[in-house]
Amino acid sequence: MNKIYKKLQKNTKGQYYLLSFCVFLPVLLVTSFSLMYFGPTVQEFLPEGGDTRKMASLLLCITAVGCFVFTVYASGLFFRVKAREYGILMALGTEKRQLKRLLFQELSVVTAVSSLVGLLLSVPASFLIWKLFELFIISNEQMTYRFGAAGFLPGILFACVLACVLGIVGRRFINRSDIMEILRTQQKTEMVKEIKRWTFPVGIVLIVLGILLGAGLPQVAARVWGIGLPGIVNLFYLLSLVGIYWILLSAVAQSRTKKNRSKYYGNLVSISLMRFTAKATTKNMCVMTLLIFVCGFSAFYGMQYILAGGGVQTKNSKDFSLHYPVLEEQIGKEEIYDTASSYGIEVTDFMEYTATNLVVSYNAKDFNEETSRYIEVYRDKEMAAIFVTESDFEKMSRQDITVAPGTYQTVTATGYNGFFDYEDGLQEVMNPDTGKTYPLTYAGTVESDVLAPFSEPFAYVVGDEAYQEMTEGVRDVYKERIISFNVVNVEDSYDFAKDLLAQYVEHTTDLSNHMGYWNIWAQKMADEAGEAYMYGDKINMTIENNMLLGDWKYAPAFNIITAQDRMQMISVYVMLSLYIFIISLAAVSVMAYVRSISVAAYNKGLFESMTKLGADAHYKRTVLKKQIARIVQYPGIIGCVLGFTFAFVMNFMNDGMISAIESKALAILAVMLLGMGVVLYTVYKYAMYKAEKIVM
Amino acid sequence: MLKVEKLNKSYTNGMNTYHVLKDVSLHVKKGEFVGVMGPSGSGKTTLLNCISCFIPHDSGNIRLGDIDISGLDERRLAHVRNEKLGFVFQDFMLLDGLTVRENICLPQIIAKKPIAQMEAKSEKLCSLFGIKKIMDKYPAEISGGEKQRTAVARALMNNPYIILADEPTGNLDSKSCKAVIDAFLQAKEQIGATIFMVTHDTYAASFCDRTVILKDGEIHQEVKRTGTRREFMDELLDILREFGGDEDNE
Repeated sequence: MNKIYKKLQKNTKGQYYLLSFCVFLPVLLVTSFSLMYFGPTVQEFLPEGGDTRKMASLLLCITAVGCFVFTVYASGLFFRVKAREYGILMALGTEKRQLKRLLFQELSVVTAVSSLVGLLLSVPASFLIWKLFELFIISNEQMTYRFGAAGFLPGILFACVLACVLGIVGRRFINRSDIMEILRTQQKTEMVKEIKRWTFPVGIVLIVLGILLGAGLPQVAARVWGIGLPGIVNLFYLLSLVGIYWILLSAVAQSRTKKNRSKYYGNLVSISLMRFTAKATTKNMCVMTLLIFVCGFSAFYGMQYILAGGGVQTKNSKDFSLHYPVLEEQIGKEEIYDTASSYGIEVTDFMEYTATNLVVSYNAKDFNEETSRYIEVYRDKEMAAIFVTESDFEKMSRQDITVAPGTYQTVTATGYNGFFDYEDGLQEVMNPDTGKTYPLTYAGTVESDVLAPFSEPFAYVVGDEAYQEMTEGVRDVYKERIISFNVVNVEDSYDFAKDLLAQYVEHTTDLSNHMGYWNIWAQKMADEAGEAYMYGDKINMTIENNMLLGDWKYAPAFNIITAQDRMQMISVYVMLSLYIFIISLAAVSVMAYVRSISVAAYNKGLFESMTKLGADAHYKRTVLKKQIARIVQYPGIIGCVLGFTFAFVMNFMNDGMISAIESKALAILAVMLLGMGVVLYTVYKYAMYKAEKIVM
Repeated sequence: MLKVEKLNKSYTNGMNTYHVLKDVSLHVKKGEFVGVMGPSGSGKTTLLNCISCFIPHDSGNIRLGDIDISGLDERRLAHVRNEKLGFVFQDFMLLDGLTVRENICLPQIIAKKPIAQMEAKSEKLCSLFGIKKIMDKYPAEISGGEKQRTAVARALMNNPYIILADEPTGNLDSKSCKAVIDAFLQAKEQIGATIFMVTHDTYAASFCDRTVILKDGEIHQEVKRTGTRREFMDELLDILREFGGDEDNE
């Protein structure tokens, strides 16, 4: 029996290769991604619970599901081919149990060997891809490839789940007790009910509705109605999925009767290739569409980071800026100039002044967890914010402003478009030591990327006299020294910046050892009420602490260091995004190819009939081409349009506008999608070449 | 209408050569219903496949009307199959994804003929063969006899010189078999169709005007129907009995 079986295996070895490849490729792709993602280098860079981790995990899951579907699909092809052998063997008296054992042995060997090869090759694959990225993106020696065995776990898990599912599919196949049923599996077709004419337009409406409701509704609800919608609104995206299915179903198997009769008859035969496998093909195409969407979206996500990477330097920033309590013995002008000269760095635009923390009362927006609503609140003397004089601000920013008595101007970061804090929210200021209050009115906004990050909700500028009046009697503990300067050839100042940072950290005392959200007045209030202050913890104040600059109230802003750190982060984000892009594209290509070939294989008899009815090679090629083109083209077009639309809508809904960076990213995305189109076209051409070999 | 002269066809397997057709010559006149019978391996199906140009022959001539189809290239052969020949196969060869009407239209769809003319012709043929009420059904929804009548209607769609039928009753019960033969007879009488039918079914062959008996790749005998159908069938049975009754399908 085993000998006969081995002979049969030899006869259908093409199917074994296909199944092995469809197990090997997903395992390779998923494992090499997880080796990189769970490797020490990437894990150290990605913030715990951050958006990028969530996004990368989500995209990986979708991709893994996509890979999963096409492997199961490929196994379906395998079982169809094996059906005849099994049916005949059973008809000749082979016990089902015996066949089951043989099948499981076979599946186990194929899955185990393919998975093992995939797992082993994932190490060099992830290394090579990393090296490839190194050529273009990674520019830092800290970003070297480091192997982490933990990365194997998701790959092994994926392979195990895959093996289990293949086992279940195999079991279902063999458990069909009816021999005729097994024999018929090879020719099994499904009858499609007539597809209504409204399917296509309604599909389009559903797609648009899904995106608008899923992405737009939470924004509209928050901004217009002040309601925070729960995460369940994401289910609206399912409408888009249903829409995609209907559009594809209509495209694959709908022949619009007789309105344009010449077109109807022209497409009749190619449509008929799909009439009995339309649903299976459409599901397959839906997965391809989703994967192409993932491809586009992940590329866009990565790209935004690259483009935003250059945005550290703005017209309102300075190369170096720092603030610290005036009571702290920190580095000052002398130390800065001395250090600079020791590195051959020339300091320019040096500016040093004092700002005062005054207690502010202001209007703001808050989110009520219980009612899920955004509410207007008046924060009465809960925080202290930085105030500077009009003349200091003018000198520092080289902007000419006028602040009338009794008014203030709010300092924001360049291009600020906040949701919770209003620029004109400040109503009243209080001297923290004398308790005297001063009502103020809003008189405009000024931009400064030096001052804005130093104070919550904002820093404020008031007239010189008003400043004197409001800060009279304020103790030094509420005062901060603010220093900012530029250097000539900032790109050569990295070593100087590192040295300066080390000196700065070395000089810190308990006075400045506070978390990022710490506020001097909020701490005082909590102390007086005898409550624990939630941001009152101390931090590890050493230069070795990687997170120091991310969560420190008095973290200095040295653009060259920020840019460098940011570049490393960008490298990681881009690498993850591009990797997902590659995995998705590979999965789509394999699925498109397999589906195209199976269309040709299933319809071989039909093409023979057509030959006998006088169809020449050109006619047969046209029929085949129309249907295979649909399989590749429609998911390609819909996936790309959807990916682009989603990226556009998400960005537009975020802040009601498309920024210069976003529009640049969208333009590059469009070019990348075109590139993806070229890849799919190549797959189509190759599939067509192979399919022609089968049916012509 | 169809003239086959000194047709030879052989297959080579390693060192061995098998002569399947040896100097076969026959002539089918317009409007004639000719059957081909013979024991298994006599070359019936090979003869039909050569006439259909599905397989090339070694030597000899096949003339269809005024066309010598022996030396045609693939594109012109496709044209001949589509325009000058009509086929009816044992397994119907209907496209499962097309309705009866669409299947009948297929030869004209392939030839890109005008739609109005195509639809009118298909209606007419459906009426002729009594399958009008199933025109919008799919093959899976109709009986074997209806399938074969659909196939006959399809074969006549392009007004071919000749209909080539390969065991058209092979997969049918006796009732359906009669329905198909009736369809051929209707086609012959009402449209003047010429039919060339390979069969192992003596009952079906007894409806022919003439039957060619093949044996070992040669024409063993030609029997012309002179009396009643019953007498003709008995005559055919007598001849086939000489072969030991082994006139199974090839």
